[in-house]
Parts: sequence; C-alpha cells; structure tokens
Amino acid sequence: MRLEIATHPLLQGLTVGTYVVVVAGEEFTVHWNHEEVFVNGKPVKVSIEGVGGNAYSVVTEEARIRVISARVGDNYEVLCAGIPLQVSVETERSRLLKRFAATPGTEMRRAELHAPMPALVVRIEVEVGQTVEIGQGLMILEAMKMENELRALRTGRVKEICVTLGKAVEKGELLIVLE
Amino acid sequence: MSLRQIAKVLVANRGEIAVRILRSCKELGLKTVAVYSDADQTMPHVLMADEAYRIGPPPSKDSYLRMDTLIDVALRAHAQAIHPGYGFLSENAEFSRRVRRAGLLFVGPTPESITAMGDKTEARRLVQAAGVPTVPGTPTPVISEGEARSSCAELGFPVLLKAAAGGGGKGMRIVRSFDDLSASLRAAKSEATSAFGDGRVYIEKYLENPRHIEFQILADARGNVIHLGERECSIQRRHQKVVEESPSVIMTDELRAHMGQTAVMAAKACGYVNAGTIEFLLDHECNFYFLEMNTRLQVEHPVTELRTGVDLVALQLRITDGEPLPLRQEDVQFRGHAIECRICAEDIENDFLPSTGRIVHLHTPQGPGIREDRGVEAGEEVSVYYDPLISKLIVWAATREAALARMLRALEEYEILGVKTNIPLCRFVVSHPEFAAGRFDTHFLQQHFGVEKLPTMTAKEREAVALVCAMADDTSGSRTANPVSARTNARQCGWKSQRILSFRD
Repeated sequence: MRLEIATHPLLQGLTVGTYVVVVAGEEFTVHWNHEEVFVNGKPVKVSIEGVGGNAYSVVTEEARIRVISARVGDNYEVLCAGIPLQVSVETERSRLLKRFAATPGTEMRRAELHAPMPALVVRIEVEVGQTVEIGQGLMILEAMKMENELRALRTGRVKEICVTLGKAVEKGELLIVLE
Repeated sequence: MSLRQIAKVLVANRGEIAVRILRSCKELGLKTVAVYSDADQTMPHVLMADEAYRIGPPPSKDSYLRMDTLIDVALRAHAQAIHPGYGFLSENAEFSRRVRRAGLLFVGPTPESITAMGDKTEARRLVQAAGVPTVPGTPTPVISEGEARSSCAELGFPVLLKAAAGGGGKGMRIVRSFDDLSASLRAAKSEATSAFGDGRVYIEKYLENPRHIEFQILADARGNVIHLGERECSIQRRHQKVVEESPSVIMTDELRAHMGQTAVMAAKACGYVNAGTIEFLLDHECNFYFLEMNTRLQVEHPVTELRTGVDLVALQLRITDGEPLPLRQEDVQFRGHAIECRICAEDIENDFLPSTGRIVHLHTPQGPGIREDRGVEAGEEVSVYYDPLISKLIVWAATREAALARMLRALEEYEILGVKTNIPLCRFVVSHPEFAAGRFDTHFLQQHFGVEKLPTMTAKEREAVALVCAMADDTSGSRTANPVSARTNARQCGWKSQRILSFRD
C-alpha cells in the first residue's frame, strides 16, 4: 500500500502530527506520516479531496461520504448526511496539557447562563438571592420577533444578574450566575 | 405586456419576498427600487434592483417600518407604486392610506378592506353578516382580565388568546384553565405589542386537532372575484407554518367548490381588491369555519402558483394597474401536487431557538420540479433583527406520492452551513408515514416530533468528519487557513495549500 501525495506547486509538504478530534461526543485520534493515515491507531485506506467551496469527498473502500466543513473561530462547523455539528480539533499535546490544568469541582460550583444568541432582554423573572428549581423561568429574551424564555438547567440560588432590562446582549454574553 | 400607469415599483420589504417581487417586476418590464437597512446592504434584493436606497439602521422599527421614509424614497425615485410584500407594513391600513395620499399606488387592497379584515373581531362580525360560518369567540378584544375570565367561562376551555392586530403566531397562547390565564394574557399582550404595535387580544374557542386550510382569492377593481384553490397548512409549530401543500388530502371537488365560494363571499363582504387569503379551520367532520382573512400576499403563495400556473405577483401588479382579472372561475385549472417547506434558521435541538450567524456554505437543490425562493446568499449574515426564514423550498409533481419523494430528494441535496436550520425537521415530516398517509392535523409535530427522533451519524460518517477536520487543521502552525481546499477557489480565498491523498496498491 503506497500513499501518494500530490501537492500544488505553491504549497508546503505533508507534516507529521497527531490530532484529537471530537465528533458528536466521540473522540478520534488521527495521525499520519508520509506513508499512512491512522485513526485511533488503525491504518485506514481513504482518499480525501476538496470538491468545491467547503465540500470534501471522503472515499473509503465501503463508501463515498460528502462532508461540508468550515473553520469558524476555534472550531469547525460541519454538515454531514444532513446533520449539523460543531467539531473541535486539538493537537494531542495541547489536549494533555488542558487535562492537567483543569481543577475538578470548579464547574460544579458556578452555573453560568449565557445568551444563546444575540437578543434583547425584555423581562427578568428572578431576583438576586432567590432560589430556583430546574426548569424555572429566569429571563425572557426577544430575537427575530419571538420571545424565548430561558430556564434554569439546575437548582440553585441566583448569585448575580449581569444584565438590565432592555439591554441588547451578544451571543455568549453572561446573563445570570447561579450557585 | 407593459402596464399603463406603472413604470417603476418600490419594493418595501427585504429577503426572499423582495427578491420574488423584483423578479416579476422585471418580467413585466418595470423598473425597480429596493430599500435596505444597514444590516442588508449587500443582500440579493438590494443588488438585484435597478436602484437601492438606505432607509435606516437594522431594527425594523427604524427602517422597514418607517412609513414616511418609504414614501419619501418612492417619490424621490419617481416610482408609481409600492409593493409591501408580507409582514412589515403590508397589512397596515395607515400605510396604505398614506401611500395613496402621496399619489402613489399601493399594490394591495384598499385601506378600508385592510382595516375591516385586520381587526380580527371586526372581520368575524363582517363575514358572519355575509353568511360565512365562524369559530365561536369574543366579539371584541378583551379589555380586562375580568372580562377575559368571563369569556373563558362562556366559551369553555380550552381557549386561544390571539392578537387582534395580526397573525403569524405572534401574541398567541392556548389557555386550558383559569390558572394559566393571567400569565398567558400578559405574554400574549406583550408579544402582540412588540410585533404589531397593538397589544389588544381577543379570545376564541380552541378547536382540538383541526386542519388549517386556506383559500387564495384574487379580486379586480370591477368586483370580479375568483378563488385559486386551497393550501393545506396544518403542519405547524407554535402556530408557525412549516410545511404547506396543495391540494389538501381531504379535499374533494365538491368541498373545494363550496369552500371556494365561501372564500369569495368573505372577500366580497369587505369590497376586496387584489390578492388575499381566507383561512379556515376544519374539524374532523369537514365542517369549516372562517378563521381570518390575510389582506396581503402570503409566504406560501408559490404552492398555488405551481398548482395553477398563475403568477400571483404579476397579477397583483396588473390589478393595481387597473386591469380586469384575466381568468374567470371556470378558467382556473388545477394540476398535480405542490409542497412547500419553509427553511428557517432555528436550532431544532435546542427548543427551536433562533440561530444566527454567517452562511459559509450554501448548496441548493435543483432538477425537475424544484423551485427555491430565497433572499440571502452565501457569505451573508442571518441576523436577529428579522424573521428566521432563510428560504422556501417548493416542489411540484404529478401526484402527492411523487411530490413527497421529490421534496425528500430536494431536502437531502440542500446544504446550509453557518446557521442551524430546520431542514432535518422538514425531512422528518415529509418522510413520516402518517404524513404520507394524509393522517395529520395541527398537532402533528407536537404528537410525533422529538429531538431524539432525529437521525444520528453512522460510525463511518463520524470517522469521515474526523478525517476531514484533522487534515484540514494541519496548517503548519497557523490555525486560520484551511489547506484541503477546492482547486478553483484556492487562490481567491487565500488558502495556502491544497493536498490530494490517495491510496494505490
């Protein structure tokens, strides 16, 4: 089995690296050298080709699969078989480093609610110090002419309300902190 | 071919409907004027028109809803007519009045018709007097919570709270008991105020499991009114239509004639001119009730166009120009089956929250019997300021079975990346055995759809995705360029590399 690499004359050669890709919760370790491509340690026979825009054709012995993939920020937005998802890619090294740095328990102590999309705060339903239950309405945001109620994903007490009524928030902006 | 009074039209709208209207204007040899907010500067409707004028910052209330600005632009551009599209000011009687007062033609009905049918309780009263059956409800919007309570007691639960000033699901709430009434009333009023500038709410008896069937009518200024058949709009989510089709599976020629005549009666009752739609609810015995009249062109009008071969926008312009209807009722022909799916920017796995973002990839279906009405291109931003409709996908085929297969095929070809869409939901509906069997009503999605029912990727597909993303990520240090790129686009997008790997024994 021979790996042929055709490169565009303007281009750089193949590099050696190991990447950890998370696809729909499943981890894939992908690495390659000048001869073979490995997925989770197993060699795979595959041909990948860019076929226009963000589309790629992935051909294996069993199937031809069309994957649409575009870099958006730090991740990839992907569409495959009509299913959209976000995929993260890291080098194996940076992933290991992250694991050592994480402090267990910090995630449990704070629960932060971020704006899922840019919107306008039209109603704040709770107060600082108030105890809330799972599913309880915390805030109402308006976007695209529809109102959307954001609910608590866990029980807790409202520690901080970070926005005021009428504020236009960005996607990802911190709205409420529960403890 | 050319019109007598109209040489130039201003399209007071945006997105897919603006593009739709511009296309028919062009085909009639009319000059076109587009308007845009700062968020829409490079949108297709702007680039497609002969002239384009900026009308304000992104929020609709500061741009597309500014009556004075729109009329001012029309006058400056020497347009003779304004087409309001749907939504925005299309059912605003005051706008229709001001347009006429400015000496311009409004492509739509008279302000009186808009007023008569725009107030939902007034509309019911008017058509009742003409002998049209209606759903039981309050004769006027409820003023106080006390009045709401007694109305609920009279009608009996469940009831539906509805905005008096507009439709589209905004300001609508189902109430099943007195406990929910207070909060629902508040929410309905708030949403109605925000959407229509009018928080009045009325109450109707809520029919369980009805079918929602509407009739397209066309009327000229000489009193000729015809109907162009029905559209079945029962597949809805929170009162927003998702899938529409024509004919309806439960329709017979007889029922169509009966409902069609009733629709014509309702239109004549308010002296209607131009295109309009009468919405009916049907119970399981096929008793039908007038729900409301929409005094504008509707989102799902392509379904009727494909069934009848009629260009509704072109006829709207001709009627406005003073022409009589080119068809009598007996000339209207119905052919084949048409289905439409509304493609919306929604995160269906996350309670259908609106999804915003830049479209980085767009690949639309083509081939026999496919029509796509879209007003946004790849590279454009889908923002929060306007409704989440990206496009409409409409198919036509000789039979319903063939149309379903065609729609499924088309949805599978449809690729949008950059925003989440409801395409998987549309596929779910169109491939569902109950939908194929014609067994559904307005509760279909509630009954059958669940996020857990969405397909997941196979192991091979996940592996393929992992490979593409990993290989694409290998850019020798830089995380900004995607090396495995299209040969033709490599230079334009500034991508540094292109690589083809293949295995050969």
